[in-house]
Amino acid sequence: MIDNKSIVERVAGITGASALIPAAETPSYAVDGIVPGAVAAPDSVEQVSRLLAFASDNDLSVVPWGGGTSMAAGSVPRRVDIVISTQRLARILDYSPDDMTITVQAGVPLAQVQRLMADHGQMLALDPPLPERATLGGILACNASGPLRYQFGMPRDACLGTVVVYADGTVAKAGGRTVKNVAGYDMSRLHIGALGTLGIIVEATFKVAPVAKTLVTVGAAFPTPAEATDAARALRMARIVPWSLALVSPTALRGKSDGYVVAVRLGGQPAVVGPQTMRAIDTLRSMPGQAQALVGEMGNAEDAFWPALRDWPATAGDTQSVLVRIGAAPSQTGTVVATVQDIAARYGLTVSTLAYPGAATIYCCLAEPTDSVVDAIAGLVAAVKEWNGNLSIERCPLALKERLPVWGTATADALSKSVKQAYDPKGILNPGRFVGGL
Amino acid sequence: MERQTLAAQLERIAGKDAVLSAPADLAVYGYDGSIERHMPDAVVLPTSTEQVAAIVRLASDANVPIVARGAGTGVSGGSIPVAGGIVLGTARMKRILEINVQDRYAVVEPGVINVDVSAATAPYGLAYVPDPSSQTVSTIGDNVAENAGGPHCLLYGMTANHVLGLEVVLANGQVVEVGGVAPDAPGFDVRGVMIGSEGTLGIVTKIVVRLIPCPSDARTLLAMFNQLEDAGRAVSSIIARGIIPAAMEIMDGRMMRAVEEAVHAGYPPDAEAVLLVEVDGYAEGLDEMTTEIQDICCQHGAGQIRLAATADERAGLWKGRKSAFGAMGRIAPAYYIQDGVVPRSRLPDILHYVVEVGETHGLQIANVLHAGDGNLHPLVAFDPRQPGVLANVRAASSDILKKCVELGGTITGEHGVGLEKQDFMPWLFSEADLLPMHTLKMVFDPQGILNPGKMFPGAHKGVQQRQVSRDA
Repeated sequence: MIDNKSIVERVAGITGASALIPAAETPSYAVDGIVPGAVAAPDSVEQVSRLLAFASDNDLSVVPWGGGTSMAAGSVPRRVDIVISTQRLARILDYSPDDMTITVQAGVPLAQVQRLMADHGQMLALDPPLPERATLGGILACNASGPLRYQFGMPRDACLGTVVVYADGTVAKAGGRTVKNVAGYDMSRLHIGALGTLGIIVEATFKVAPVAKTLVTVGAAFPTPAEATDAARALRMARIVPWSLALVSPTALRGKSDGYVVAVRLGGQPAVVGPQTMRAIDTLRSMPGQAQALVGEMGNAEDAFWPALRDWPATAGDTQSVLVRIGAAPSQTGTVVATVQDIAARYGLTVSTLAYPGAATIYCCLAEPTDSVVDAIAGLVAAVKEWNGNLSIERCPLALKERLPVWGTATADALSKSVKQAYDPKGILNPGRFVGGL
Repeated sequence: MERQTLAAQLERIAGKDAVLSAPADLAVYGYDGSIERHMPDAVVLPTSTEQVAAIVRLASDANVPIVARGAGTGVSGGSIPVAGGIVLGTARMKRILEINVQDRYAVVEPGVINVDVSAATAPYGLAYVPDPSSQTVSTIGDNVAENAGGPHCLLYGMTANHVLGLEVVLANGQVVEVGGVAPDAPGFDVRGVMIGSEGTLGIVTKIVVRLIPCPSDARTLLAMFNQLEDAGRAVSSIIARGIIPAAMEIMDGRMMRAVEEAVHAGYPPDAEAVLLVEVDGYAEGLDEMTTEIQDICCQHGAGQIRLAATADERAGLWKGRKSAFGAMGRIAPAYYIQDGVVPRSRLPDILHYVVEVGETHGLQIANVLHAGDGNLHPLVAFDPRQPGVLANVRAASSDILKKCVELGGTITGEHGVGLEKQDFMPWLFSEADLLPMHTLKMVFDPQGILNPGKMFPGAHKGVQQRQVSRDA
């Protein structure tokens, strides 16, 4: 096994010494406490390819690193030899407002792209946490999303094509740059959400959407989760086209809410949004239990409320919190929120939740977890299984991680193992972090 | 395996009346909407996932190719059994198993016809929106295999954006469920790669489709232009204004005149392009949007503009567009349809080129376009009785697609690669690009029994060569 010093030398030989992160800084690229032997920031796809070929030849593990906003996700890696950072693969390669597509290198932060496109009245319809840092490659690899997913879907719905470097250094593109394209297998889909375990995404093309001419948010507060979920359901059935729909527990946002807040965001042309706003308010007003004074348009929602929700999975609680994501059918939102609260109460844990009833995705932040959190989460995992849902732990204290089912009850079936074996036979890409220890 | 033995084994699995082996019956399952055909060795029409799994296991054990087939309306040769073997027809798996109004999904068997899904969900105010032109005949299974599009995918997306989950029979007979109603199930997105895999990675036996609230209202507008390019520019301007209509279709002069002869849609004889735009949603704002679109069309030189508000009026405006393919019969006994895509902004360039190709090859080419997506369907008219004409038609078609790629586009927007365009794949993908796709195929189908001879460059030739050496 090649030693760290040699790794550093060989990596520097590939990328140039200036692309090597100084040894003093490598601890800040630790993954679950494991400090890498070397951290490289290649500035070309060719360098990424040579790095992976080198790693493959020497049985060294590789961890791709974008903006570092989701590095706590996944199980503890078996090894971390080389971190490949995409910070210098950060060019915008092609933006065509007329064609409504944009092609970027993987290391471009989302916010940079949004600012560029805002000048043309366009945007990427993706709003995952911490857009100033989250890179487009990382967003794809983590299948990260935010409140806009209600209307616009997930990263895979916006991604038109990718360039991926595979474990042996092969560079391959898939898809293309047009909004319609069915030539070949949709390989991009395989890599989206795969945490880089099948290849490192180095480039991606996305379709863009027009920015809304008007955005209005309407909200109301309810005393109980049941009443709040009823309201969310009523909004789903109402004659409106929400861009976002959220249900926020009282302790989720700092200094807010006298209850469970249900908020719906409407976007589009003013002639469309105006009447829908009225209908949303009427719907909320007609619900029992609503706190009258709080029904209405939420001022400043785009600057405060939605960004807070967007970032919540990353910022809620603190480094000691456990952030759980649950996926369930929309109709189960109320059950999930209630069950989470019951379990938390039973085990003496503080919990706040952010639910997106449209999907449904429910994020739960268990703050100040005690030892009983392990049992609490076991209870939650069992409940999720009953509901035919799924669960993953987005982040938690390292000491707890080994004791918690990071991927819920999900395992790697024979097919997944074959896929991993085929693309990464030596198991060098993020080994052990994905479902089933892949 | 001998045909008789094969038929007997299939009968044991699916019952006597599920198996066809008479040559006349086999022939019916050997062609699709394209000009290719090949005889299968047996046809079986199962009624359940268990039967499909057993049939695939049989195919695997006997090393016999197997191709799933829905309505057979594909135009790229996707369902043609070029290596013989078994054609598995899904015509008897056509139940809608569940409609869930609250969670907005339906579970359907692969043989359910596309429009029948929305017909069943309409009473609940829900719709399944992908609308390929074949939708009154093609099945959901077909649509999933090709990742079908249609006019409304401009706003709503392709089949891939409307499939929540799949039940798939893998090449070894194993049944897996991928995706599902609960979002973000951890794991590799097998559902994602299965969609559009042209029957080469598995046989889909159940589909969980996403339903959305029926757009409650719509406005349709038909604008006529004296120049094809003006219609194209109007499309660009509409999108630049931040308006994404539900559909934007263009037909050129040649297509319009054929349609006029066939169905009397009321197109003026001197118009060179018609642009059909549909916006949908809740009633408020639609009229404003329509006015804005109308203004843009006028700015680009539109002559006549017709507006439709009621369902009947809208159907009237769409009638011409929907009759287009059938109307080709007015021009020639046969037509060859292509499916190129260019970035929207290059539409004027490709349309120019299509005219040149028609002239150079001495062929009449009519154009129908999903203009908003840059997806063009040149229809090359020809008389199959003319000696050598097919080679000329193919050459013209390939020239057009090559130009699409040169302009930054692709060789297929919604029809699939299949037989027809596999040898064009190298225009888009290098050997290195194709390598991971070959790997995927190897993972899912190491024996190569699922729809052999498709999609990959030289795949068909490979099958033909193997057959020759087998027969030798």
